[in-house]
Amino acid sequence: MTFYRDVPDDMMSANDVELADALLEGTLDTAEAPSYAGVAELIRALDEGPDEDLDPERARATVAAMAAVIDALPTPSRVPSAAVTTPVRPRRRIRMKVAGVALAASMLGTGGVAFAGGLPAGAQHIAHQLFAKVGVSIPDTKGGEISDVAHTTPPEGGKGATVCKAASEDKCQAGEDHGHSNDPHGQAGDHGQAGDDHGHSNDPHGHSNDPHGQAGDHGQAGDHGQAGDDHGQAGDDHGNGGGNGQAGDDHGQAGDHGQPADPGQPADPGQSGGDHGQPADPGQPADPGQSGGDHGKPGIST
Amino acid sequence: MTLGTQFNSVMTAARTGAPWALEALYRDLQPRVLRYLRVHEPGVAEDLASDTWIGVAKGVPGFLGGEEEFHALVFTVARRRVLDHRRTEARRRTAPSDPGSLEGLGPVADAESDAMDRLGEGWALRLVSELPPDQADVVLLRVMGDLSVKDVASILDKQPGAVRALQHRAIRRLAARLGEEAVTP
Repeated sequence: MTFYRDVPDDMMSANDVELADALLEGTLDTAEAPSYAGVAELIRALDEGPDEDLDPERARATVAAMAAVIDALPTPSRVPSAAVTTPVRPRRRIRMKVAGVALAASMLGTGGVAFAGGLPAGAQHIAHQLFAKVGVSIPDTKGGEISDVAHTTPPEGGKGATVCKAASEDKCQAGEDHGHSNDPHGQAGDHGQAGDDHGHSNDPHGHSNDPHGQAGDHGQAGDHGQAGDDHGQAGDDHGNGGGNGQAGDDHGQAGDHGQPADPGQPADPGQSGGDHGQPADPGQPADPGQSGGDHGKPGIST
Repeated sequence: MTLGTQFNSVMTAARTGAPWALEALYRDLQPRVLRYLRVHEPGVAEDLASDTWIGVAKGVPGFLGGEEEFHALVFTVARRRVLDHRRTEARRRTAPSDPGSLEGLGPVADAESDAMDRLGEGWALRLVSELPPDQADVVLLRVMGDLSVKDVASILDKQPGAVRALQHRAIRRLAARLGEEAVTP
């Protein structure tokens, strides 16, 4: 097996190093290394060389050029350190100016677009956050706002509902109690019908107290023209119709003073000025289909 | 060859641009610089030597060091001039012409052989110039520049160990070549 160190040309021992140094420095005793006598002679020839006469004209010109170069150099002690720094060339300076103007223009343009809210969503959100740090308010993206709400709302206490509201601009009803009726006959609660906002009857059951079945507060939507307290469904506790079957205060059906109680008859067969009020009809639903809410239940005569 | 004890006073004057001091430095080292350059670029050695000294002059006012360091400075600049020249030559466009059309123009001088012959020690320079470039550089800088392994390593941008390996191979190759020439009838 042959190792790379066994290759004759590449072998180099400490003796070889000393030998080479001695040869090149001209200190080798050739009697100790006769095989290198020729190399020692060659090195000597290189070192001593012929005493070539220098061209005086060229020597004078070269020395004069050297002196001129040294004279032209600034003396370090006389020159402030700032002046020793490499000067900026005019073309380079112009390039730097152009680059600076371009950078400023791009920053202004981007800032303007950011103020107008015209950046892409991600960039707009980042710009919003960056400018917010320096006290400048620029519009954020919808997603960014929702993201901020999600990040800043603590997990306890209805985080989902808060985020939902932010996302739906307060239209979301997640997590809210929408007024379930305690009455087994009650109005729909979950579906946003009988909520307070919609003017459902305050009478939780909407049953008529009248044995003849005039509808009392039948839990229809109030604001939407259905029977309700405000809108003049047959509101008489005794089931008598109102005076003339006129509408109640605003839009209603047969009001408090009109029609005599007429079992089985509608307080006012026709529409009486209200938007959607139905006549009270014993045992009939006030008007299942007309309720202002989506799912209002009819009242049930007791 | 060396200024020896006079070097410091000469260098002090040279820093101020004194012509006599600059001439002393020039005359001391110019023969070796010329021989070094003639091995590398025989045809333009004189011009490269002048460029070398002008380059050295730029470093003289701020130079700090002894004679060996000054030798290292001079040969560093000389080697750079050689490399610059080779780069310039490599980039220069040439218009190829038919060699036959040059026959009638008279004998063509061989600058390299002329330089070798003029030195009288041409055989030594010829053998060194036949070495691989790195090995030739090490031998020339060690001998002509009288530089240490460390200085040569710095000039060639190599490790000292690599320089020792190069000089070892160069000597073995030179010994082999001289042995061949000795037995050649």
